[in-house]
Amino acid sequence: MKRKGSILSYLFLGIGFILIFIPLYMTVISSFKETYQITGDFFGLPNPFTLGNFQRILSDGITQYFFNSTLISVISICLITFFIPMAAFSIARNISKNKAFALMYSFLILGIFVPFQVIMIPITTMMTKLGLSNIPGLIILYLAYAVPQTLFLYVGYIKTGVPAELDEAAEIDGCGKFKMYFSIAFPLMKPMHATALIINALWIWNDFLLPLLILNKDSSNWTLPLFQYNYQGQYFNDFGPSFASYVVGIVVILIVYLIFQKSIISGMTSGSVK
Amino acid sequence: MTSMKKVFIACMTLSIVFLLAACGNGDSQADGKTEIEFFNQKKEMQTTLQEIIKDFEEENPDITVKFTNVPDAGTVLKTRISSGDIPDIINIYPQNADFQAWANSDIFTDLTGKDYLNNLTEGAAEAYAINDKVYSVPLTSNAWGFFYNVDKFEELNLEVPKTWDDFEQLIKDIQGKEETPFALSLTQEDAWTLNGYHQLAWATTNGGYEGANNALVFSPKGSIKVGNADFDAVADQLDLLNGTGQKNATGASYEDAIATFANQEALILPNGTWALPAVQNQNPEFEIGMFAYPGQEEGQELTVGAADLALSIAMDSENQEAAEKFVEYMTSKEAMQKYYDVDGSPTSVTSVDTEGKFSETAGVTQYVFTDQQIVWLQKDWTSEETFHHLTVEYVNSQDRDQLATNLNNFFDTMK
Amino acid sequence: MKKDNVFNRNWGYIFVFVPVALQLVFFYLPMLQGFFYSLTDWTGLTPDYNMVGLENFQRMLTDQKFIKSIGFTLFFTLGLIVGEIVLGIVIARFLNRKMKGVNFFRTAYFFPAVLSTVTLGLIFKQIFNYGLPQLGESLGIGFLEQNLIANEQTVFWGVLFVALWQGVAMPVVIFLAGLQSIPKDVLEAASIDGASNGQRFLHIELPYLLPSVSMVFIMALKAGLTAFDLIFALTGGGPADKTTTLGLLVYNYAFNNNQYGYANAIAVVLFITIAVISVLQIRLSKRFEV
Repeated sequence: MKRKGSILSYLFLGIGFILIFIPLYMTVISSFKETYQITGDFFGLPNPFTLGNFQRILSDGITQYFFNSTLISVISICLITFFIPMAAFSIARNISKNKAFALMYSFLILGIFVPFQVIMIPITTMMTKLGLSNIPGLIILYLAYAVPQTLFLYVGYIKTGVPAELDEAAEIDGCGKFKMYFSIAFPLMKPMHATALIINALWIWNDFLLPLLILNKDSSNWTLPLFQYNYQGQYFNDFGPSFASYVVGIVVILIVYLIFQKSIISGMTSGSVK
Repeated sequence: MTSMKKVFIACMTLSIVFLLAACGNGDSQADGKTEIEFFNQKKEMQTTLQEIIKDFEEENPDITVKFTNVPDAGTVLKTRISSGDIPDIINIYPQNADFQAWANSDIFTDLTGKDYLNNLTEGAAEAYAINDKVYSVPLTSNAWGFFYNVDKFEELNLEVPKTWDDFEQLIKDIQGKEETPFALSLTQEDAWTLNGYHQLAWATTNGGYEGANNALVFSPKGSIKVGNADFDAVADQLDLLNGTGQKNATGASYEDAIATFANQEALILPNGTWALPAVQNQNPEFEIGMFAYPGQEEGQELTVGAADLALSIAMDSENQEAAEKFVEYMTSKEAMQKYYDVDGSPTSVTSVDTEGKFSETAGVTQYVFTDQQIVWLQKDWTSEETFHHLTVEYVNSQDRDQLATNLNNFFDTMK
Repeated sequence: MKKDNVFNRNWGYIFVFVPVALQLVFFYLPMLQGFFYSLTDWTGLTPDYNMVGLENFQRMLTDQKFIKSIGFTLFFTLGLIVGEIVLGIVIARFLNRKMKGVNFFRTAYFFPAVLSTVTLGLIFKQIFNYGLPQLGESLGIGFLEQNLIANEQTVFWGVLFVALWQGVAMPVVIFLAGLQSIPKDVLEAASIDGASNGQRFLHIELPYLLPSVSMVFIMALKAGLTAFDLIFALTGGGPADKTTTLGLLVYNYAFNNNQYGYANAIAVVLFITIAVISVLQIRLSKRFEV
């Protein structure tokens, strides 16, 4: 009985793995092909096998774009992890006592379902006028647009994961709210930090449209997705180097996931009260 | 816990330092040179243009050209112009609605009567004049037609069609010889590849540019109907593409269609001259030729095309003189010969030596700058993309009523 | 302690200040501008426009593309929500078993999330157009021989498949975390009682999974309603506008058709609808909480 169950599990997981593996395999294989072979024989093995695409992206300065993307992602994530849980904590604690916070909560999360394309033109105009068409401007926008979804997730988590009794206990110890938040509540949200980090990192690392609109002037400011996309002209797509740069992007984000995977899964185990 | 604190403090310090550094970072223009920005939309020609810019900078040591190439250039340009951040020199297609709207609201400098316009074929710049003023210097022109496999045509005793009837017969013959006639990409995303076909169908049935647009956009609302002689003829011509493409044509991308043609799995690739480099990248083992869209009778072949590399100067630019110097340089033989030798699109710069070059596309480019070339019909439309989509939708569905409805919906908003 | 009393009394407001200010400036201000433009015939190109009143809103009622797009977006979102929750839980339960190599699978099942949608579109287009038909031919499955995303009848399922292929990765992680949060003694008690697989799921696991379900629900709802990149890269909204989402429609009207005023009118309607639903939802969920 038990044996049968585990064979079934392997079968199920194995089939799923193949489904997952094929597109990933295609990406890696394509990065070792010449462009004409990718277009002409997409499913074939690399023939001839070439490292030219990787040499090409190196000489086209991928390191600079890689650095920009890393910088933008890291700083945005830092700011997101600083400001949003804080606001979420305040809202979770005050929402039932104070109407103003209920109102602010709706105000903050209403943007969650609105497609970005809706505000694309006004926002670009505004950033230009404010002189923020640069990396700091982009980071500010990431922080702003991370608010609705991230805040929502944190508020939900705090309600169960950081019980209000802790506040009272801290107050008896003579702790102010600030100290209480930073030394007790913030560390307790660790699994949520890991989850929010992965969700936002995936989004920021792969985002194309926002950097395109904000960083379009000086190519030395570009992010990795802009660099990748730049190999695609209207009438001729240079797939070889694009795929090589996709592979580079994937490897990085996978490493980030491997680092934080444990925190998400094990963290929620230990931190859960009910 | 302490390690978490350390990470946290490191993060915050990094953010603050970075934001402060960025705020104090002003523009630096130390060497006293004039800097002009050249916004390019022809990414395929980036390398060549870079070389030309280098030559220009050597000749004009007091000017530096900032060469801007971005992905999705059309969207970027639109947002930049609407936020008032206009590049000094822009490579922009003067037949498009965007250009015309911008020219009308004084975004571009009036270049009427400038000396360097004499370096171009007569009337080339005036063709795109808005209110009789020249805002664009068109340097090359693209052209739409049919690429074909010359070797296979010879092998199978096929001939380039001279009339529409010939063309239909040709397709039947190709099918009769167990070959596939067309390499197509019938997806919504790459629907633009058939824009030329549909436009030329209207132009050949209605006697040219004016006739076509009179029927489409200058007619009363809702007047495009099944049963109209011209509509039926156009639909008949579009029918030629149904079922004559390669297997999987309905889901094929532009690149797939190119690969199909280059691998000799189909003999004809309907597309513009711009597709040549992509075809050649596939190292085809045959001679490539091109022929134009056949008319009802011999000698009525048409091609559709318009300015490809065309330059405009921003009215707001503080460096008008330097910008004009650059545009003037681009009309010289020195610059355009370099460009032409790589790009191969017919050029309006008369001094460029084009003899015997780019024979692959000659079958179509011979008509450029003659009265057998029409300008893209969208010159009189406010947008074009929906037109591409409805073309492919019809080729796939053969639903004539739907085609008429779609055409009316699209053009009625402009009437 | 007395010194920071002012801060401590108003800590609630200080904590929310930055996000509120950011939303105000970078979301509501542009939205407000959008409201204004929705009353004009602005093309988005030049500075001049005319006020046209509610004309744009009237036009929406008869705009076939808009109606088609609402239909697709709703069904797509529904498919995404159901798919992410059901598939997510099924996969997470398999990954929660104690068996050899399960850690490898746990990592592998997250792979799809790391691919950018542009790459995903490129690859799946090839698979749908050449890979699957070849497979269908060699196995004699007629259904697979055609391109599933080029056919108006099947394109919905094709697109949903790709969206779930990528979209289910994060839910799996979240559900897995939920499953792991069940205390050991509860599970042991169940196995001593001899609970069947189904009973165990319904009575023990599901209650622990509910917070994860509501989290995934919101994430899937957001992903569906704002879907853009994947559709753009995979089908471009075709065939025959069958897969045009509202985000894509707004983008097309604003940037390709130069009807910025009309595009904004759609955006406004979208925003108001969502706002009303969200507020109702918050009200309702509060009522149930008490």
